[in-house]
Amino acid sequence: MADNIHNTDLSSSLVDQVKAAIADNKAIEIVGGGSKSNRPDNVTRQQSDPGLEPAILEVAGNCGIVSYEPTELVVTVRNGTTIAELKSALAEQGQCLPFEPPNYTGADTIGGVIACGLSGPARPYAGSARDYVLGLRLINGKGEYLRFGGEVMKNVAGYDVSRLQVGARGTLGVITEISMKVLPMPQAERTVVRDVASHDESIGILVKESRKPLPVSASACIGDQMMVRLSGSEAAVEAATDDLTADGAGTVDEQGNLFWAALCDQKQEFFTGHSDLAGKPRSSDTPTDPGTETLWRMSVPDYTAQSELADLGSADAWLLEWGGAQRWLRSTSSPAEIYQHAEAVGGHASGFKAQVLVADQPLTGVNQHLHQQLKQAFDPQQLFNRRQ
Amino acid sequence: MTASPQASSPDAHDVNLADPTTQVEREQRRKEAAAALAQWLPQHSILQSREELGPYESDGLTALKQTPLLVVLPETIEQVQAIMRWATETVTPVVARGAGTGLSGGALPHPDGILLGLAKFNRILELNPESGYAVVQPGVRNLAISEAARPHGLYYAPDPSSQIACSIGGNVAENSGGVHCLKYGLTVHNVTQLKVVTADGQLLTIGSHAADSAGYDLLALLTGSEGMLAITVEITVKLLPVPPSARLVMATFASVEDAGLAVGEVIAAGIIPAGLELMDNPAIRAAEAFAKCGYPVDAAALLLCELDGLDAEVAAQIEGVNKVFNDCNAVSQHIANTEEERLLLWKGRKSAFPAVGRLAPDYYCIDGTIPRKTLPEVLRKMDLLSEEYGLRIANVFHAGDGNLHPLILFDSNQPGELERTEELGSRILQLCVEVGGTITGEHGVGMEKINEMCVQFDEQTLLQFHAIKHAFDPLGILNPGKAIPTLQRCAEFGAMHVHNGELPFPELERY
Ligand SMILES: Cc1cc2nc3c(=O)[nH]c(=O)nc-3n(C[C@H](O)[C@H](O)[C@H](O)COP(=O)(O)OP(=O)(O)OC[C@H]3O[C@@H](n4cnc5c(N)ncnc54)[C@H](O)[C@@H]3O)c2cc1C
Ligand SMILES: Cc1cc2nc3c(=O)[nH]c(=O)nc-3n(C[C@H](O)[C@H](O)[C@H](O)COP(=O)(O)OP(=O)(O)OC[C@H]3O[C@@H](n4cnc5c(N)ncnc54)[C@H](O)[C@@H]3O)c2cc1C
Repeated sequence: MADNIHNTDLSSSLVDQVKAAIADNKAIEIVGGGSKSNRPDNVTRQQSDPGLEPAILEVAGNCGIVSYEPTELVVTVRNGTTIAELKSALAEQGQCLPFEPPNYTGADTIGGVIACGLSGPARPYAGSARDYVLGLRLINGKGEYLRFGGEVMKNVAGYDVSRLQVGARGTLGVITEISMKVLPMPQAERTVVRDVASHDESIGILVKESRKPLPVSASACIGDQMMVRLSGSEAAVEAATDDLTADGAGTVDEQGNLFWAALCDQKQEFFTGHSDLAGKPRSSDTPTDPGTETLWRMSVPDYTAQSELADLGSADAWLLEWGGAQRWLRSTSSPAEIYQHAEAVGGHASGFKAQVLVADQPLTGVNQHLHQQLKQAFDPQQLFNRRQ
Repeated sequence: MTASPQASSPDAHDVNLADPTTQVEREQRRKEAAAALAQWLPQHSILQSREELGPYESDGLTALKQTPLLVVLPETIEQVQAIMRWATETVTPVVARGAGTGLSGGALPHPDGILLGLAKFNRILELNPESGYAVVQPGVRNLAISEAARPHGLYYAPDPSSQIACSIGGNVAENSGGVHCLKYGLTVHNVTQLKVVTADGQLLTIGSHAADSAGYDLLALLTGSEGMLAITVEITVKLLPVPPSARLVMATFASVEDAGLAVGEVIAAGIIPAGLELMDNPAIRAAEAFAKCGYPVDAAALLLCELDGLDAEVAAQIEGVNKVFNDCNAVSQHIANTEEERLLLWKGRKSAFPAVGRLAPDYYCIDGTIPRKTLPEVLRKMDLLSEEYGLRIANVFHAGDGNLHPLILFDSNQPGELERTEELGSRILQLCVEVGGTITGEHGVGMEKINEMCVQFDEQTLLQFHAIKHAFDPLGILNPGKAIPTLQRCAEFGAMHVHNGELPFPELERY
């Protein structure tokens, strides 16, 4: 284990702070590491209760690797461990988190990434953040410190509360410790680039490729270029490269790994090249502000024809990845219009301004009711992250 | 589970309370319920005579039996909704049942409730080879999905040994695994969307054909929830391309410890096999006698290690595995020469339960999961327990995943032997918890492991589980009494153990 990793157990202090907030009847905003997206100065306050300032619960200080045994393929870390530190500790043992946790700011924490349910380019091929979570510890809204799941690969005792936390954005409790499955790093990796006439052509190719037993581990389409990453044993990557370049239309990109890293961390030009998206949001920014673009993440079935979404933006306003299942759009369209398109193809959308989540597909009906009931089950006093 | 090759074991626990007044009242309620449900269901979908109810008295855990008020076999989602609305109005317990192969009593009927069988939901609604998914009804058999996908070069990855019989709805309810889960994941990793009917009869879609959905990950929460939160009425599963090459290495070792070590070393070498299974000598002998598959019966331990992928990749991995096994003192190594031989070698493993079942009148299957590194310790302690209780144990083991299946051999006709077996099973599960593992890797808690839940979880955690249950099912009509013990039950279980002597694990949190 790397000596330079910070190692501090603040869990009992975090439990105390939650209990204190309960006693004072104060709401809590959980703040992780890098993005500081939840700090009040960075957040579009809701107009409804301007007087109610939530207590900020800083959780990133609770950090470090609790246990890591490479042959067990399991790592247990405190929430505040940064993605950078975690990745390098695993890399020392030739292992990785196959869902490729993004590291947007350099100080992003594993707790934040799990709470947001974020996965990188490998997601459709290697699985998502939730697929790799085996267990976690949680402080719920009653100030109880609970442990769910464990460090073993298979565990069906009790409800799967661990995976329920992934993407819950801290609304059900404070995650203090996470056990995840890790895997050996692939022996070899190669990126193949080919020109395409349209996004729909690339989707067609990607959908077809993913039904073949090829070791595809990432894919994207920007403008008239399609990129496919192959990962696995030397032999498999070699064979698949041949398959993908057989018709003469594809070439190997030696710098491919740089592209995927930039895409994963949203450092790619599509994300950074527009000041509207990259800049600090003005306090008045909302997704409907005219003239300023919102970055929309559309999560749709991979086979969705791009032509079904085309009227939301011209071809260069889109970046497709995950074999077509994750599509980024820069747009000034109204949220309602985006949601409607997403829903029509069986997907959902969320909007970001300056890396802060500002809009999210609303829930309806029984689904919404069950969400409220579940929130109630974990956090009866509505302590955590009210803003969500 | 206890499975008895003989049709019925006489001293199986009948959970029926044979109070005569209750019996009379129950007959009355049976009639009323049948009449009420006949408003929405055709007569042939309502079973109420003794003979008709008989086959539904237990699931794969035949030691537990119970007669339900009625069995209903709806044919449409609307009928399921109507049943649930009626159950909510009348506060009647509802137990869902797929194929009834469950090993933890999850589908054990409730004496005052209806058993909702999904056997008639047996159609594959859509198989989309281009987009790699299938939409199926919950009663479809696990293997039927792969059979239907096969002509398109696709398959459904999770392959429980019971796959010829068990239903996909049951798989979702148990988050079932199989021998190929090491590489391809459990049910939760291979299901993308569910349609469920809630306790109060509403239809809800959970998940989607996209990579994720807005809101909480209810798909993960519902998977493995043992019929406690909702009734699954439709499932979308991922279909994967059949790997062009799959090869099986069979290696034997002089001791189970050596084999266990080899498992860790394969993984340390950066190889993730498609399946990695371990059997000890009693299991090898039983499987060989049953399936005549060519296992060396004098081996102390046997590993089946399957590698799949592109030809070149598999060849490279076989080389790697051969080297690791050699370094770990393998006694012999053999690579299946033909596809027939590969399938035959798997058949031995997949029929290990019934095979072991022939060694004794009855067997009881344990399902604990442990950190792999504790395998030698756990095996040693199990040997001691086996001696202490005077009961033989055969071991088959999803070694790659750390999921143990010790099979305790016993004879339920010997007075007290079932009880001793259950106690031994419980001790083994507690051992699993003690070394940092869990009481169930894939068979679920059901009725069987309800007491051991008190060992694994503290009071607050159990209350959190109950709160989740309440969020979905405020009246508690779905599969009542299963999966999550009441605190009172735990108090009684704890008291019993203290009474028997010293506390099993004083270092564990309890109350
Ligand atoms: C360039 C850029 C792009 C981004 N893109 C996206 C995106 O596509 N999608 C997206 O969702 N976010 C995005 N973000 C924001 C994202 O929230 C964080 O960058 C990421 O989660 C890193 O986590 P953090 O440690 O900074 O957590 P924070 O940003 O502090 O927290 C993120 C969320 O997780 C919660 N949280 C943090 N730690 C815990 C914990 N231990 N227990 C419970 N809840 C916790 C917080 O309350 C908050 O709701 C982006 C940020 C940047 C800078
Ligand atoms: C010989 C043998 C080998 C086995 N091998 C394995 C193995 O390798 N891996 C493994 O994981 N399991 C194994 N099992 C256990 C069992 O087959 C699985 O648990 C299986 O998933 C149960 O499916 P079923 O259709 O028989 O469900 P049932 O036994 O009918 O029901 C199981 C549970 O699911 C609930 N349920 C069923 N259908 C629904 C629905 N539609 N909606 C809501 N709840 C529902 C029931 O209420 C019950 O709690 C084995 C069993 C046997 C007998």
